Amino acid sequence: MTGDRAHPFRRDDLWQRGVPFVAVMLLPYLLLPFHSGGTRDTTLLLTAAGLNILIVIAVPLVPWGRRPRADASVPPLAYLAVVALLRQGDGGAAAAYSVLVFLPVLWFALYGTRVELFVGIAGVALTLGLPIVLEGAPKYPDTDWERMILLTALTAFTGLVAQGMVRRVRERATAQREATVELEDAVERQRQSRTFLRAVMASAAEGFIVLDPKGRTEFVNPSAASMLGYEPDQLLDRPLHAAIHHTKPDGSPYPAVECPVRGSLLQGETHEVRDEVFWRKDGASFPVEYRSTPIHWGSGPSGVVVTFVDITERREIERMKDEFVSVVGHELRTPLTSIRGSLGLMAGGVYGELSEDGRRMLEIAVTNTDRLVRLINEILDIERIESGRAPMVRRLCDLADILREAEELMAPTAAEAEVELSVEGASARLWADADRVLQTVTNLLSNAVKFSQPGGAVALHAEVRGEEEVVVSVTDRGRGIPPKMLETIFERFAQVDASDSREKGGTGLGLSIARSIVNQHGGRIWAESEPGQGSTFSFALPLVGATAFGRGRPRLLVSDFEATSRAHAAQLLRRWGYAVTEAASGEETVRLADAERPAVILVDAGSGGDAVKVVSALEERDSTRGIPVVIVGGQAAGEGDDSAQPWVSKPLDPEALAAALERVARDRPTPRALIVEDDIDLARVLIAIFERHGLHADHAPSAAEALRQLEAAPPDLLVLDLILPDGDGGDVVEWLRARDEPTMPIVVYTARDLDAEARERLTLGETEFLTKSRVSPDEFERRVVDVVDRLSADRPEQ
Amino acid sequence: MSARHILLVDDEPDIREVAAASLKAMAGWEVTSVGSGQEALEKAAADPPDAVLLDVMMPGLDGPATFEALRADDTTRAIPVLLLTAKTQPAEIRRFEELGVDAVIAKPFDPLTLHRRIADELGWQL
Repeated sequence: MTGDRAHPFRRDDLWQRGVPFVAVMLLPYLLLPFHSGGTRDTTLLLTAAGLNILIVIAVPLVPWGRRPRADASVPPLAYLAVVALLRQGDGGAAAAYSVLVFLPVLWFALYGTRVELFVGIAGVALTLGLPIVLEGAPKYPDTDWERMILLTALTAFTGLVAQGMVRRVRERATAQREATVELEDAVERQRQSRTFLRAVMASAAEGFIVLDPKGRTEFVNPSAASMLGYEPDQLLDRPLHAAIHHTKPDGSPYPAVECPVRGSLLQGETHEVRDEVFWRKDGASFPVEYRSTPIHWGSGPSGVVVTFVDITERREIERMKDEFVSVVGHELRTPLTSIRGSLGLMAGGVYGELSEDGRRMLEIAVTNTDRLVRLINEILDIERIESGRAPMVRRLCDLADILREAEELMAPTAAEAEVELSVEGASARLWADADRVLQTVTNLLSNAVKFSQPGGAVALHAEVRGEEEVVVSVTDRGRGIPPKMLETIFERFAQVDASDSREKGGTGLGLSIARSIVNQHGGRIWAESEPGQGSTFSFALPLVGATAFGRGRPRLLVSDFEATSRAHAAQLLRRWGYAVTEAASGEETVRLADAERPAVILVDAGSGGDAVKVVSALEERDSTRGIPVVIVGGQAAGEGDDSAQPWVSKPLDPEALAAALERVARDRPTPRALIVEDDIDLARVLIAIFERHGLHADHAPSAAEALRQLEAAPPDLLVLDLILPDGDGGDVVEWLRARDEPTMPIVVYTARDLDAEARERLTLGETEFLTKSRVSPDEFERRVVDVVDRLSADRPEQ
Repeated sequence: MSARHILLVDDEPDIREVAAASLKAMAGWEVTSVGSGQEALEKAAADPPDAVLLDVMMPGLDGPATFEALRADDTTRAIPVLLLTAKTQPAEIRRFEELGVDAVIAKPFDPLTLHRRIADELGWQL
């Protein structure tokens, strides 16, 4: 700072600053010829001009920087002498030259210090005052004092104001310069941190893609670009899904609404996906494992980071491992086949009787060959199951069948070991791989038999617990398991006693396989034991609602005044996955049928003729007329006649009941949807979709028509467009709400996104919202079918 | 009842010998052993057996291909075919069953009961 202002005659811009001063200095000499006043002293004027020239020359030539600062005050002060000389030489006190005193004062104000300014002002006072003192009147009359004082005061005022302003401007400029420097620093730091981040991203083998809130690419790292076959900037500002994720691995289109990345964008969820592909620029795809994570920066909108790796190589290794395992299994089994075969023939006495010892040795060889084969099988098995490459083949099955089969399979082994095997099964419908569940049961049974003494007993027991799960237990009275082993017993090769595998012929993998199978079915497995008293191995599998009416949990109403048989029927039906309501009287039956609209009503015929009354009461009511009724027990009028009222005999035969329910399900009228949509073309498309999926669809083009049809015949499903020519779809919902009756599922199909409040207002019973713009026709179809499936079958328990 | 005639096809001579010995000793059946699918087709056409016991993994014409060829030929179409395989994963077994063979028997087999297994599968009286 002081360097800058060391002296006011710095050369850099002296030219610019000096010219206006020099120009003003020239003026008096140029004006001289144009006025003729009083006495003119040419000597004084020439002296003034000479001094003035000296000043103008000295200012740029003298090396002020090497002289004391105070020296720089000499030229302006010298100019005051020029002014004094001019006044003295031409016109005296009346001369206009007096105003030239502003020049040095302004100079000091602009370029000098406060002190220099005061010196200048003092110089002005002296310049103007001294001649008056020295010469007095008549050249300087008394009025000159007044003039001198006013002019001095004015220059002082102007100088001080000007200097103040200049200072403020300079301070501001300085502050700005400092701010600019700071900003530049910050920008530089930012640039460095960006460079750092980019360097980190660039060095990562994983692909990184950052998406903006609209799902467009904001950043793509080089790994991502090269895996995808693009230059990094080719992917910028493009919708990611459409660019690299448009098609599923099976070649079918991948609707953007299903994309997990979209879930991250809209719902802020983190998704990890393993079984999908990304598409390269050249049209080829590769398997990826990716993770989409919502991120937030600043207070602005959020985005999503997608990180991914190409798992082509991993897949290939998995495939090779698979093949290796299969080949090894085969290659090991082939020689074992010869060994096992020849040993078996010898031990079987085909080639003559052996000595006792010889046969014993052969038996050992046969037993251990069998063990080796089992070990190979189970190692392959567990490898397959745990890697997820032997997927469970699930279908509907009845646990009772599985237990029966297990009993048949294990009976000879149990008999050979002189162990009594008792089975108490329960019927429970499972969505499971029956072979694998059977494998689990036989595995537990075989362990139980192995660890039982001759004369012992093994019990297989199944029990439905609540409406959620069925528990299968195998109990033995063997030696039991020490408490600390109860958990680890399911680990591979974990045996209670090291000699077990030799003595019992086990592989140490059976329980581990059982656990894998149960886990893959969403169940759990555990062991309980009292050492010395025996053990119980149990596993629980979730019951699935799998009924004659498809997926879900349709509601049945069981009407029987006799509590025991009612409970029995209800229990059986619950096991099959139905939701069951029980009614103990005719009135209750009608009331509950009206309130709950069950899929089927079971009416006990033994209620002293009540059944007929109940059926006709149900027939009389609009709300219950369409509900199929199955008569249980009694003398049915149309027994054996397919067209008559479905009937099952009593005591309940589960198979007959299941058949009757299936018949009802088959015969039930086609579900009907009402489509409230003013766009005729769209309505046609929707009707076609529904009919393709076995639903009859009626169309109402306006709210009024919708209400008329709803009143006349309530549909099974209502599809509602919100904007209608004569009102709002919300009015229809309000109308239904006001009726205060159980309502059909509703699909609200709208062009605009609805906020939570609007959704709340439109929600009545089961309500699904689909947004037109977000859903392709295919997607819409899929979702509607889902809704139909789910909403029609999956009424929750009340 | 005259002895049943089995055509045994396996590229492993040891397994051929053991299996043949087992069936002869346990059931008294007559067994013709061959080491390749091609030979099996020739034998089956020349002298149709009561059943073919066919290994899956063989060089050249493998089990499934041999089976297809047997079914494609009028003279051999009706002969029951049982596959013998060391590939015993449930998925593998299912795949073989889907070919339309009469049964799939896993290796190693028990030589004392192999004949009973075959008889059961084909509904033969022993």
